[in-house]
Amino acid sequence: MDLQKIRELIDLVSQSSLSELELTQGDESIRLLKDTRLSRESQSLDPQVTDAVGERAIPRDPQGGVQPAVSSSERVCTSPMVGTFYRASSPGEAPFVQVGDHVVAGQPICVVEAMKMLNEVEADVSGRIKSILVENGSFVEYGQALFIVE
Amino acid sequence: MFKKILIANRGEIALRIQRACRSLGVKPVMVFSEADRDARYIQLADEAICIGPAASAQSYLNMAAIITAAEMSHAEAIHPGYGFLSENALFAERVEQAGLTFIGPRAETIRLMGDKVSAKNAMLNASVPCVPGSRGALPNDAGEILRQADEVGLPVIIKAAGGGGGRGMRIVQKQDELLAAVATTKEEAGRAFGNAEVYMEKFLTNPRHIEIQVLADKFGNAVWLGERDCSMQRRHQKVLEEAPAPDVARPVIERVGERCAKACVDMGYTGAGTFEFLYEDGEFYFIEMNTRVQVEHPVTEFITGVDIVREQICIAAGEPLSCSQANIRFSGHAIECRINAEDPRKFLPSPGRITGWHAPGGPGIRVDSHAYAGYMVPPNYDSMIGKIIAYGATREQAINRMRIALSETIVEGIQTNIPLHSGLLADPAFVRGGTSIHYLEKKLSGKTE
Repeated sequence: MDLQKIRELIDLVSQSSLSELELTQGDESIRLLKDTRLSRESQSLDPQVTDAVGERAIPRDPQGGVQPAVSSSERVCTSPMVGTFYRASSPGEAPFVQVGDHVVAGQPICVVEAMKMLNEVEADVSGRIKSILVENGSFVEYGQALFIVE
Repeated sequence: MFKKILIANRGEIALRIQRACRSLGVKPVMVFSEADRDARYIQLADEAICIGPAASAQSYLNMAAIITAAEMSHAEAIHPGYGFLSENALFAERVEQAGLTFIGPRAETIRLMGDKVSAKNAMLNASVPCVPGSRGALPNDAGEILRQADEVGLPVIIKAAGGGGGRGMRIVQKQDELLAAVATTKEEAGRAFGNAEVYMEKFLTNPRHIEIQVLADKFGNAVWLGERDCSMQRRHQKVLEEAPAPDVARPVIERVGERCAKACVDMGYTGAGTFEFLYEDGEFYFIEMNTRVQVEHPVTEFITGVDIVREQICIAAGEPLSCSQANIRFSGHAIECRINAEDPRKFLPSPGRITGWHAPGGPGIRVDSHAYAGYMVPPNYDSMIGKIIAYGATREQAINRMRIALSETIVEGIQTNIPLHSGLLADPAFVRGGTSIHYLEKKLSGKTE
């Protein structure tokens, strides 16, 4: 399956109301998932393919900096900087947290990497990790929602 | 040509660069701080990345965030605009180290021109006329300092090598004030710029500020695009600019323009740049060089027809200049008024929501602004919300068009300096032309010339 075709499929899914597309051709198959909560481009492609595409646009999020709707007992943890989000301190290491884990304020929950420097991000509240909003290895903006803690 | 450029700036210049990118078929990527998230020029952008909170130090001055945003968006080049990191040699270096193109001169050139002592030496070597003054930085020897002041002739001005743009300067009228002035300026410079070196220049009492715009490519071609008179200043901030400079003989401009172009070639300058001069009694005296695009570039664009920002991008992409000196023509007269969100008399900043906005138009009127009805002017950055530029076949026509444009312009919800500009455009000394850099402040303090 060539890159141009993959690019076209990405555009197709992004611009349509589809949330999932699976395509099989011979013994190759590709599955694209759209995260409809934040309307972000699919992150489930192999990151190597994404980088090779080279023109991956970071699309305008129509919700801007609006955080996901949370109840009063929940708290959104946001990224303190621009960079790449990683669940673990290095490849091959176990992720800092999983969904369902209890965390205390000040505990590292992920790493954001920029300019070859890894910055540990700490939980700013104590609670239970309800959801992880970003895929491992994806780009995050300043202020982007990363975790929901309840 | 680049496929994608990250614009490391905000407001009207970010919009300006975005337009130049689009005219070249280059995809622009915007960056923004939390304070600019809702601005329309960000909302309408195809790609925009939030790089930090409102504070400049953590956003528009945040080198790591900007370079990371460029890498992540696969931008190939970064345009720094003016202000912020545009004349930061370290930033230029880090951009290049990250494998991206910095749209501007090389880091070593920025460094050379950023140090006002080395800049002046480079100009002396290139036969660009300079203000008479000390040879290099002042030594710590009191006797030598006094001797140099004697040679130059009082009054003198003590300037920080790491300063520029009106910062780190002290005027000395009398000899018995000299040594204390040098010591204090050194102390302040060390703290403000991390560089305590100072130099001395003759203080010109009634000069005009006239600058020369240059463009140079990576093939050793350089052109000068005429001059701008930016004498209308308040506290070293330009308020109104015009091109050409009234009552300056064209052969004099040509001579200094050619020297500037040659200086560019000598130092391997690439990109857009401006040589700033003080002009007094028919003579030009170099004070400093700005290694970036300037706020007032539109007046030069009007009289030459050259798109300076587009040229910057083309030069950085490795293309030769689109014009040679022989085919640059100067035509007509242009005036720019900087529109600031401020009290027109007290000059206190006036941020807040613009509730009504009506921009002028018509022949020869250009408006460079990111503002609109409903726009929230943030308090975190400088107060300039836009520029109105008027062009005419003659200076008189440009003045007339600007008066009409100012009278049409409506900005409600905040205060602006439009009344100040209306006053200037009606001021007899301005209309005569050729007022010095002290004129506006004298006028504002109630003293006529």
